[in-house]
Amino acid sequence: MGYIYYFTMRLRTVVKYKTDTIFRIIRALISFFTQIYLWKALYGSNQVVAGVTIAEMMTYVVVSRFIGSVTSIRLSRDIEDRVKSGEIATDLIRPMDIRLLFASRSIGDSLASLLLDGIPVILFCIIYLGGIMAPATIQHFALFLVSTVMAIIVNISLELLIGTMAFWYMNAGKLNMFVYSLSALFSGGVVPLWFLPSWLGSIAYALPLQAIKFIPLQIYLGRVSIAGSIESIAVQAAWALGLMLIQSLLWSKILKKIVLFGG
Amino acid sequence: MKKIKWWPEFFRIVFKMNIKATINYFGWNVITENVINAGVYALEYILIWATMSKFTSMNGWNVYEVTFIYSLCLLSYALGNIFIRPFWYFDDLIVKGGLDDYLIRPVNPLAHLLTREWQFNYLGHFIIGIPVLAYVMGRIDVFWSSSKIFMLVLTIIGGAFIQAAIVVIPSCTAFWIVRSSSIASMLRGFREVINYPVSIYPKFIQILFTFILPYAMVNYYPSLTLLNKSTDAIFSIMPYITLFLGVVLLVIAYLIWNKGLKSYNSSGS
Repeated sequence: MGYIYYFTMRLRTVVKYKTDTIFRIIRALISFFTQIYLWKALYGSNQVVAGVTIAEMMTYVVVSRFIGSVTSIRLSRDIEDRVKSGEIATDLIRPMDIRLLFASRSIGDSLASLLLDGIPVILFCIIYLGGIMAPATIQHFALFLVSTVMAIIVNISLELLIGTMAFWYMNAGKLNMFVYSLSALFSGGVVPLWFLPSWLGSIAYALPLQAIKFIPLQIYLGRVSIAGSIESIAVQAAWALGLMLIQSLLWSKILKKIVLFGG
Repeated sequence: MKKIKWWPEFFRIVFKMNIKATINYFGWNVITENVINAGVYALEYILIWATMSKFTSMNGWNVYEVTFIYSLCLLSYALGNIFIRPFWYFDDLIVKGGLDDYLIRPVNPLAHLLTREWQFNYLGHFIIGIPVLAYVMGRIDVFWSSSKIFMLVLTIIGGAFIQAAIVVIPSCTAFWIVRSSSIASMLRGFREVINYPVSIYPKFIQILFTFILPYAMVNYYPSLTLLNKSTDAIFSIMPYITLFLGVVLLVIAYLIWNKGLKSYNSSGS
C-alpha cells in the first residue's frame, strides 16, 4: 500500500528532528499555561459562569488540546509548496489519487503531533491540574471517539479545499492563516461557543469549524444527550461530504486547466 | 561600481529599491496580504472581546484595558519586525553562504541586511491596531495628557526594540550553533503570553517573562503607568524603563552580531 508508505515517511521525518520536538513541547506547555490561567483569571472567585463550572472549563482546555493535536496538519501548505515548486506535476502522474496521498501524509502529521506534543503535554496538564473530569458516561466516551475521527476527516476535507485554492491564489499560506484565526474564534477550540455573544454563536454554529473542535468536546463533557450526540456526528458527516463535494468540483476544473497549460 | 558616500543617499536608494522590489515581485499581492493581515488581527480583537463577554474582569483588568495591552503588543511587534525579516531565516544565510553577498558590498553588512527586505505587509497590523487602540483609550477612564501620549509612543518604540532584539539575538547564535531558526521561532511564538496581563500567571512565569525573556516589559509594566494601575513610585516611570531596556538589548544584539561576524567562516558555497 503506497499510502501507508507516505504516512510512515512523514511520521519519521517529524520524529527525526529532536531539538525541534523539544521546542514544540515547550511551546505547547507555555500555550497550555496561557489557556489555563486565562480562564482562572476570568472566573476569579466564581465557581460557575453561564452554567459552566471552572472544573468543566479546565477539562475543556485539556481535551481541546487533545483534539487540537490530532487536527494540526499542514496539508494545505503541502499542496501550496508543491504547486509553487511545480512538483505537483510529478504528483499528478503517480498511479494513485494524489488527494489520498496528501491525506495519508496528514494522518502522519496528526499521529506525530499526538505522540510528540499531544500526549506528553496532556499528561503533564492532568497531573498539574490534579486530574480532570471523566467523560459523562461510557456511551458518551465511545461517541466522543467516533466524533474525534469525524473531526479529523472534516479537517482534512477543509484543508484539501484550502490547498486547492493554491492553484488560483498562489499565497494559500496567508489564506490558511486567516482560516486559522477564524477557527480560533469559531471552532470552540479556544472559547467554548457557550460563552460567545448570541450573534457570534449563531455564525459559529453555521460554519464547519465547530464540527472540528466544539462537537467532540461537547460530547465528552456530556453537554448533549446520547441522541443529540448522534445528531451532532451526523452534522460532522454532512460537513465532510459537503466539503469533499466542493473540493471535487474545483479539482476536476483544475485538472482541465493543468492539461491546457501542460499541452 | 558607484561608491555610495552618504547615509541619506543610501537610504534614498534602498527605499526606492524596497518599493520597487515589493511591487515587482508581489504586485497586487501586497494589497491582498495587508487586507488578510488586517482581517486576521480584527478576528483576534473579536476573540478577546468574545472571550470576555460573559465576564466582568480579568484579574482586575476590564475588556478595554486588556485590549489596550494587546494593542501595545501588536503594534510594537509590527514596528519591530518591519526591518529585520532577514533575521527570521538568518541560519539559512549562514548555511547556504548567502551572508557572503552582504560582506563583499561597499556598505556596512548590517545596514545592508536591515534594508534588504522591508515588510510592507505589516501595514495591515497598523490599519487595524491604531484605530482600535484609539477607541479603547477613549473608553478607559484615564486622562490622556500630552505627556501620557508621549509616554505611550515611547512605550511602543521601546517595545518594538525589545521584540526586535528577541528575534535578532537568538538568530545571531547561528554563527556558532548554525541552526537557530527553530529556537528563534519558538521565542517569537511566546509572544502569545503577553496577549493578556502577565499578572494572571503564577509567579515563576511572571519572573521568566520579566527578567529572562522580558516580554512583559513590552506592554504589562508600561500599562501600569499609563493606565494609573499602581501607586508605587517605580511604576510611574515604566515607559522610560521599557525604552531603556529596548536600547540596551539592541546594543547587546549589535555586540553579539559583531562578535559573530568576526568568528564567521563562510560555508564556501
